[in-house]
Amino acid sequence: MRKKETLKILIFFIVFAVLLLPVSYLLRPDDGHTKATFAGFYAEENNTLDTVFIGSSAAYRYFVPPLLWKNYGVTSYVLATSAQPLDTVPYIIAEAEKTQSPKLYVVEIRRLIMEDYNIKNNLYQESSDRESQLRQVADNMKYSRNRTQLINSTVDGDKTDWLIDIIHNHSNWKYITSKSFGLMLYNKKSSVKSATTIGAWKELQKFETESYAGEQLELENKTKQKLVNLLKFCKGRGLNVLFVSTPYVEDSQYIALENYAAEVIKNYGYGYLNCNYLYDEIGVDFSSDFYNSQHTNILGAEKVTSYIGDYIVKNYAVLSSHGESIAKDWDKAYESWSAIAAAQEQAVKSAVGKNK
Amino acid sequence: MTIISLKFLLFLAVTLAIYYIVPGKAQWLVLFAASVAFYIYAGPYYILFAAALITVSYFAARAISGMHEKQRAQSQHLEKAEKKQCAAFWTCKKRKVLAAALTAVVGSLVFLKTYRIIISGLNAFIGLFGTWRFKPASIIFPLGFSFYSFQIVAYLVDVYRGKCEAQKNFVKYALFVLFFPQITEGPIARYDRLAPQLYEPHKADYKNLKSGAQLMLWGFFKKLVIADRLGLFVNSVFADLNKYSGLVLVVTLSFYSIQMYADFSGCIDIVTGAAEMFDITLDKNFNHPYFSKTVPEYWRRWHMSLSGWFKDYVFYPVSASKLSLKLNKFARRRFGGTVSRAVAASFPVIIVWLLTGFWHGAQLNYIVWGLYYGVIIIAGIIFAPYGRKLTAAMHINTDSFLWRLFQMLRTFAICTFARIFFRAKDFSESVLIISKMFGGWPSSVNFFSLGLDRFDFTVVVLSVLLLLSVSILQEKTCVRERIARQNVFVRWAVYYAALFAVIIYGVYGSSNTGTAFIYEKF
Repeated sequence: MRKKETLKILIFFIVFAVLLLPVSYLLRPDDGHTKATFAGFYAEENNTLDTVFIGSSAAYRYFVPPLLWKNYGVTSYVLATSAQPLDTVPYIIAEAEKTQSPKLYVVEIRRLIMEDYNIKNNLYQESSDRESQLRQVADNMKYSRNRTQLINSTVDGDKTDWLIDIIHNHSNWKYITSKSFGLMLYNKKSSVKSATTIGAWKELQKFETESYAGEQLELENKTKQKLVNLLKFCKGRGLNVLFVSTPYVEDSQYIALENYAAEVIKNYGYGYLNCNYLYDEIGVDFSSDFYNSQHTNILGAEKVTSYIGDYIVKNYAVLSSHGESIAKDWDKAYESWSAIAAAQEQAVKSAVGKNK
Repeated sequence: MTIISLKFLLFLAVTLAIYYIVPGKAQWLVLFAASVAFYIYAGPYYILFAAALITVSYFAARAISGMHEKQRAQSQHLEKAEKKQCAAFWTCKKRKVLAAALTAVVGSLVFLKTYRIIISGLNAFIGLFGTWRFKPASIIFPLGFSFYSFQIVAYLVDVYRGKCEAQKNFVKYALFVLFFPQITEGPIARYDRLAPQLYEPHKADYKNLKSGAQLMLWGFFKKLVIADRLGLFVNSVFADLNKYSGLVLVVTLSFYSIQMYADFSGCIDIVTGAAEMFDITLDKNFNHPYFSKTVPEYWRRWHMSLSGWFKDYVFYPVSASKLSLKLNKFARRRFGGTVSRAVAASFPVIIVWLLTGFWHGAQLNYIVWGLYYGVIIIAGIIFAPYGRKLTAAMHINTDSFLWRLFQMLRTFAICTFARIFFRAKDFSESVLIISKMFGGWPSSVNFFSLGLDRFDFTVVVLSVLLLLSVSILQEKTCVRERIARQNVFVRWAVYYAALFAVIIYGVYGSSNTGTAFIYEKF
């Protein structure tokens, strides 16, 4: 075989790989916000984010970057996925660090607490739950070393259809719409900077967390190790991290586990803010601020965001000056979000009003 | 390691790289090592069965070959009458060796296909007297056993007939049996055509690599996009047969016919393409069987290596047997004309089709399937003259496209009906399908709820149309050569389109499990 022909074969496969990449991205599942969130993050101008929020729905339903911008001038982004396992966080941070140098990471740890709770109470379904939780992260990260490391460290057994995710996702061609093409290169900005607030409502009863303030329940070895690994990772990279637990309807076991986790976090020299002890300070109203026992609606999210914003501005050097174009971009994001928020607030208020 | 897995593609790429790097004389050793590795990976204990058959057949063939030589040496100085005596003496000896070897090979195949049935029969008998039962050992049918055992039989008979020399090198002979691309589903190779290609040196040739890869890609398309997608529909209906009747069953069986073709011919395309990349040409196994106008023609175009094998090693010997000749003579004397021809053909035809059925499985439904074809073929011989008279009387232009189309559809319908016995899990299920097929047609059926949604149906329709168009083109020209004549942009666009069609529209991956080839189980 001549050199020319060998070169031809090589070029054929290079072109194939180049074409395969966007097709793989195109076929990744789209739940309406996760893919757009990651695409939006990758699309942000380099080194323009002051803070990155990481975690599960306990992060993305609570933190509202456009509001944080409006109130405090802090640029932030919520890089959260549904039920995001804590052992994926180091890789998400590493991926974020490739394009951004946030002054603070805010990591919500409810998923870890829930996971531990489920193990203790035999509710955990490792295989079925974990795969979809991991896929939310792995199948929304661009092909990179971080993604490969994430898969190698979290997935057991055959990893082929994780590493080459088109093997797993190829049947999604049925769900492709014209909107899907906008996200296929992961370069489309989020018009609301990852805000995922919701305009629904459910009346709840507050759990008296203060009565369990002194109680601790040791984390299982497996879950504790995940937390320790993350802490070591953050320490090793010299990152500023604030660990938080956002408000929800607690349980005596949850709060005892959070108290234990707080000790572990503090031992590594990091701050931990449990909002479940701060209902009054935040102004959380369980009769109007939630849409289910685990998540705040628009009203609750605004309150939590304001409180956390105030807290991080006072305790961490997150403020920085941003150029005119960045400021304009964020002002526009606030406008877009506030239009959505107004409708959501109205929906919640009217639902609450009807109930009364 | 199924041949549609990424592992196989990687394995093939590595083997190809080593194959073309090593000196030509050592290339066959690379193929042998790869074949053994492939087969051991498929199932570590499979190799034991293969090794036993290879050893027996190797020594038997060597012994027969040695007898040929001795016979030749002795006959050189003999008179005609003595030569005849000498030939008779050696023929008898060779026959004994051949019979012993064939008993070992065919006996193993028969044993593996029937031992469970024999044990359950014995247990049923013992059950009349007590509670003790035989526990059947859990012997899994070795992958490709039916295929390579027939290959060995052909080799032994060919050596016996003097058609080919026995291979002296044991490892080279083992390679002929184990050659990895074809071991799982054939084609059933003939020694004189395949072996020399395996042992001779080959140079890396861009044309072969390209052409082989193209054929493999087409095979992947047929298997993953068409066969496995239709399989979702077919499996969904067969999983709950009691629920369906009439039109649903007719559509399901028609889909199964297409699935079967796309699955088996897709596999053969992948296998043939892989071999082509090593500059090895395998025997053709399919020649657009659904374009056949009659059932015998269909069987000359479908699984050609099996039907060819039966023709050479069963049909001709049985036709030439004393019993068959006597039967022929008797029929000619007694009936004459068409009937005598039918009677003469019946005996070997029925034997061939009974054995063909049995080759697929020692179950009543396969035997009935075989007999069905036997009867159809004999009926064809009997009624052909009447058919010709009828078409002439009705002034039907038998050369017209419409008539030929009718004949093709008729053959397709006959073969599709036969698939009832093939797909059903046993004979009673076959009977159930037949009774339900003609037992009332439902007023409304939602076909989109049977494993395929409207998107899948669109893909099925378009890809089957593509398969049909390519098949029509292939009847007239070599499609790969036609593509090769286009400019690089068109060529590469076609290749990428095919690649991405397989990747995107293929039914595979962790959520889809139905990817085993249908013929793998035989």
